[in-house]
Amino acid sequence: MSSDAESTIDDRIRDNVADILFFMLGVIMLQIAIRLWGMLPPDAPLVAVTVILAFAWSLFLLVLAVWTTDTGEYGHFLAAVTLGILVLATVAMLRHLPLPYLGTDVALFTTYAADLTLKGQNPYAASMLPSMAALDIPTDQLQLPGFKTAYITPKTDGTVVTRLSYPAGAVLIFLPQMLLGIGRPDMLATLVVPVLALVAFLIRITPPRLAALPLLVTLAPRNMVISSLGGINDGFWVLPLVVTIVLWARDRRGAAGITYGLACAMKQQPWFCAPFLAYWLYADRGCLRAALPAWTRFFGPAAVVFGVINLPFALADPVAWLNGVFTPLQDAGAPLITQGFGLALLTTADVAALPKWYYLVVMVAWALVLLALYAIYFPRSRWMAWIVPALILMANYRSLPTYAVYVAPPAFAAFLAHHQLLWLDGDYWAALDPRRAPEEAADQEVAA
Amino acid sequence: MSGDGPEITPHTKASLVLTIFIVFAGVGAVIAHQQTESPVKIDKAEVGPLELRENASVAAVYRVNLTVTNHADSPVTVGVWTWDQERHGYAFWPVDGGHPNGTVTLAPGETRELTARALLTRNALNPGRPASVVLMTPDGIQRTATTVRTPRNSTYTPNGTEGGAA
Repeated sequence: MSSDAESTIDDRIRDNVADILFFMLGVIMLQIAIRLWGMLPPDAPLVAVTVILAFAWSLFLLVLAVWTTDTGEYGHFLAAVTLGILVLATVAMLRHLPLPYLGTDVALFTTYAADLTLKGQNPYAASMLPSMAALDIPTDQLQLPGFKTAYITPKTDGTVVTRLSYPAGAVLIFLPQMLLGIGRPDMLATLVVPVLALVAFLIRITPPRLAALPLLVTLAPRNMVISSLGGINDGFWVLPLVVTIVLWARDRRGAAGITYGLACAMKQQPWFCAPFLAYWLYADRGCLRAALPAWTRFFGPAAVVFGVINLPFALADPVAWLNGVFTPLQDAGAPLITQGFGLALLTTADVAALPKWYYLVVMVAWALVLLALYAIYFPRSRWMAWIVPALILMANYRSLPTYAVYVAPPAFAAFLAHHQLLWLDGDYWAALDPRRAPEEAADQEVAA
Repeated sequence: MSGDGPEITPHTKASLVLTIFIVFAGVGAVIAHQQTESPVKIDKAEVGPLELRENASVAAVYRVNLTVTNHADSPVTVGVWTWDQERHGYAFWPVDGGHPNGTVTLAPGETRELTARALLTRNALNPGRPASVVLMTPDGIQRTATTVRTPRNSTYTPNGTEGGAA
């Protein structure tokens, strides 16, 4: 093939990136439609409408790929309709799936802890075991064959985790729904709303031609909407972290600190970003004296927000709060079982019987290595700061797939920011970026 | 470049850092593995017969029979675990006649037959498929593992009872 022909094909691919992305979205939506058809009971009009719309829309997206469409104009609309179908599917699942449908101890424990908080008790000082009884899960059968193991996190002595093991934000977030008395005892709406808001926000910050990408990011690795209905609560920290990235990219570091503190108050994963962000602020300014105000401006509000949410519990029983928040690292009694997609596989695949302390030491060393690499390659590496939680946790003795899956939305926001593709105020962020090279800005002004 | 020597590139620095880490983690893994290997060895392991079919497509409960020996000079307490494909982790099963918490303590040099009823999921369900079995001390520090196969002569009837030879 001649080079001319090759370049023509390359040009066509480049020109049709948006159509390619919406074609991929159509395929993913087809998979979701098939899943909805399989999991929803057939005896409700809402289910029928949802399944028909999901299939019709996925096929329409496939048709669109062989149609001449101005995705620059309609990209956001197409993504919004897809999100609308996801909302409809969510309502259908909330109304028609056999409930309670909580598939994890995370959701069980945090909703029960919210109940205790409303009653004036400190959930960090209480056993979470009664949460299972509240949903008629037989707590005397935890070790018997046939028990649904998804409800429990086993420890190596055969017992199960009964301690609340998340920061207080993951508990307090359930209070509004509880106080309103909607949907008890499952609290699934609280789990799913942040995920739907996350998808909407990602679409909002993405240029129209790329508007299929946010949906691919949140549906392809794992359907985050359906997962949240199964009890996964990672939407709690991912949404504020993505907002943090956008605010950070706009140099609104104080506001970014507030949302970062909120993310850290929900779950532990965003904590791992802190040293990398601290280095970023330091490297941008070149010396400690100049970095100090920048650190204060970002980490100050973050600490205040984290403190406001967690201090009441930490002050009430500091040891119980510390034990709860650091359960994965240091729980009373036996450690949790080794489990995960990273180095933990060495143990579970029986390559090497490695104890928990080994994984802890290696994870700390690996985090330092990543920080060193970050510094060596800075500034090229700077946006990697938002993705490191999943990388670091690969070395932990527990590295659940959610650690990797839920870093995809922050990675996508960082990708948009890195390539100056954030769509804000109706224009590419590139046109607003104060750090853009002056000659590049001048070129664009001339072009305009 | 400021000195007389060759410039150290970012790639060189990164390679150095990664090499040190790999050596550190590798040597540490060897040392940790040696300290972790359990003195309780599995002499013989087998699965069967079928106890209960939990779900036609997901799981069934089998009896796991183990013959184990404590090669240490002191008593060792262990629990029986099997690989749970559904959760991608090990699940604990109480040993028949063991302690109330399901573990069992072996005297120095003691050989004993252990039986535990285990829910073996998916891969382990089909006759002849392997299932991973692990003995682990309650602190999770010492473990030994083996692979067993579900019986080939077990078939299942629609009502969940065990059928004849396949």
